[in-house]
Amino acid sequence: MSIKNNFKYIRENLSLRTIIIFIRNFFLTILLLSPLLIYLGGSSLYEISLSKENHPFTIWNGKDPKTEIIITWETAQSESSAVWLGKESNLLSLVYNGDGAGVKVHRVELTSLELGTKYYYRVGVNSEPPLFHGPLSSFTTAPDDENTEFKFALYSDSQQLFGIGSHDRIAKALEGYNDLAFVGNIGDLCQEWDHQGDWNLYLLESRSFMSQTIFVPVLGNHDGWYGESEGHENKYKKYFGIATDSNFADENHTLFNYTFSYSNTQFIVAEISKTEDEDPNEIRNINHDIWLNSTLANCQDKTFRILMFHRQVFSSNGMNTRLINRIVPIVEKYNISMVIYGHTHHYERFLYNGVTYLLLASGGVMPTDTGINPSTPYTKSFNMGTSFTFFSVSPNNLTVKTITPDNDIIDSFVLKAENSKAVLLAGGVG
Amino acid sequence: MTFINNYFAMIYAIIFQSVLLSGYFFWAPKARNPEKLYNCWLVLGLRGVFFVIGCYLGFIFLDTSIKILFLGVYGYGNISFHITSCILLLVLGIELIIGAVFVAPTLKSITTFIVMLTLFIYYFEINQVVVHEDLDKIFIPMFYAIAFLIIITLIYEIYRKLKTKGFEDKELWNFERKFKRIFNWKFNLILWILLSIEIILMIEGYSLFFWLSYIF
Repeated sequence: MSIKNNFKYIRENLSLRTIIIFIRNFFLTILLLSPLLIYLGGSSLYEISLSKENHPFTIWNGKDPKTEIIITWETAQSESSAVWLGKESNLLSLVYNGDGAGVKVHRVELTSLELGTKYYYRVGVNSEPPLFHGPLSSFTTAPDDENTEFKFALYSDSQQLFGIGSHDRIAKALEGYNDLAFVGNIGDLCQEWDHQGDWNLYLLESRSFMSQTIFVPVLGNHDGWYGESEGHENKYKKYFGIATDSNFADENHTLFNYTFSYSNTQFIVAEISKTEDEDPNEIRNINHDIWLNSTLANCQDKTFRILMFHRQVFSSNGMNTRLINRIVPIVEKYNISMVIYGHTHHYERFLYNGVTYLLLASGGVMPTDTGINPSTPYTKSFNMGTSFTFFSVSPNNLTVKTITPDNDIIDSFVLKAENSKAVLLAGGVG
Repeated sequence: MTFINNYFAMIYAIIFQSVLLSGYFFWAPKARNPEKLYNCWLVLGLRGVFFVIGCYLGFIFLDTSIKILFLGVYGYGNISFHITSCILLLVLGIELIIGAVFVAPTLKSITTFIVMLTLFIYYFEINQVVVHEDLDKIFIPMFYAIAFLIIITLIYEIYRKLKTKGFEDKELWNFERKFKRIFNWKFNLILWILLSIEIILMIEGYSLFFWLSYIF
């Protein structure tokens, strides 16, 4: 058929019926994609429909893990706050009874706790009888002894776009470990920093482990500090508060960086979350690095120093040269044992100049690293799919194991403390 | 060794498979019938572009599944979570490449295939582009291939006009009927159902074969 005849054929056959059939076929094509669309829509509706009450959880946020803790919970209505605490689960006594106007987000700081002690607690309203919110929960304060072995777990990037993702699998798996000193999330807890549904979903799923251990949050770019305006409340700040000294809480200083020591290890939670946080010439980043340098200088007596922040340094999905130039000299100057971060959605382990860098961004988010080339000169292990990482610290060794929620071992390695450094002793891909 | 991760490959696969099925059922009923062939130039042109896209996605699906299953880019620690998607991608990739190129090839289609394969190997193995929040780079070889197909078709048509007698881009072989019988609408419908279930399970941290973890 010639081109001329083709046009003639189209002209003659283009009727209202043809157009209706075309529109019908278009919608039928969309219908074929409906399983995915229904899944996305259903997940979003589920997220929106969640309760506005959030169970209690504990954080340090810069407090002393040996004697202090912050308990936070949220109620649907404004209420007064009360906390019952005890060393036995059936012997709790009222330790905090707030007065004055009620609040929805309750934050209670407890001090003068005993070292290395497991505490049980309940929260609610001190009425007769007491009105409790959430289940009986627990936490354990840090030990005084620097030779105490301890375990903790970390993951990153649990952000669930439209409420989809596998974070609930990680949370349920962590529930089975009741000997963890704490569980940390290295940023991007949620997809939208100001979307309440995202945060309700995250806190709902995390109940399983938050009720039995302390939570260590790190600010990610999706949780990031973008200021606040009418209708746009920063939920990271709402739930975890500002960590730094409020005297420095201004535009020239970062707000959510903090540090804590546990047994023989110093943990430094830096605030490197957004693109602007990479720029070494920004005044707030200069001030941040002054804090980082002095914090690291003060913890040289510790066996291990672990630096955590959100944005990637090394990654097969894009090397961050600005951060490599800015952070690596600090890491090497202060003998940091391990640098842990997230952001690019996969698991990867690097060894650079003898220091281990760990990318843990498989914490429930769908891997969006579309095209990837996992063969940097420093890559020691690479994986995609839901995973989280266990750390076991002994007086001289730091043992690390990354697993799936079904206990498949993805990667494991051991660092040994030698002359203020942490040397890679053994490691292999699962 | 650049590759598209299997999560995204599965999303491309389900979208393409949905379009393919809609073609079977609604847009191009002749596709279901091995006896009927197209002769409208507009349909043939669109079919040519669709075949280039299908063939390119076929490369991506084969590349991803081979690198995960046989080259172990993820390691094998959680292979039970990836094995289903890789098998589905392998099957769809083979169907797309055979269907687009090797069912009834002409010199023109074989040449376009070789050019596309060369571009794919260059971008994924030699140039090894790292895609960081930059999706379009993945499809550069495909757009080059579509441009090449248009150019070679124009050259062919001009040459055919000038050389009035005895020139035709003949089919080298044709087993379209056999192909349509094997990869029929039932086969593709089952594949579509499996792809839909698997991608949702993958996002939720499961897989059709995740229970293999508990056996091995």
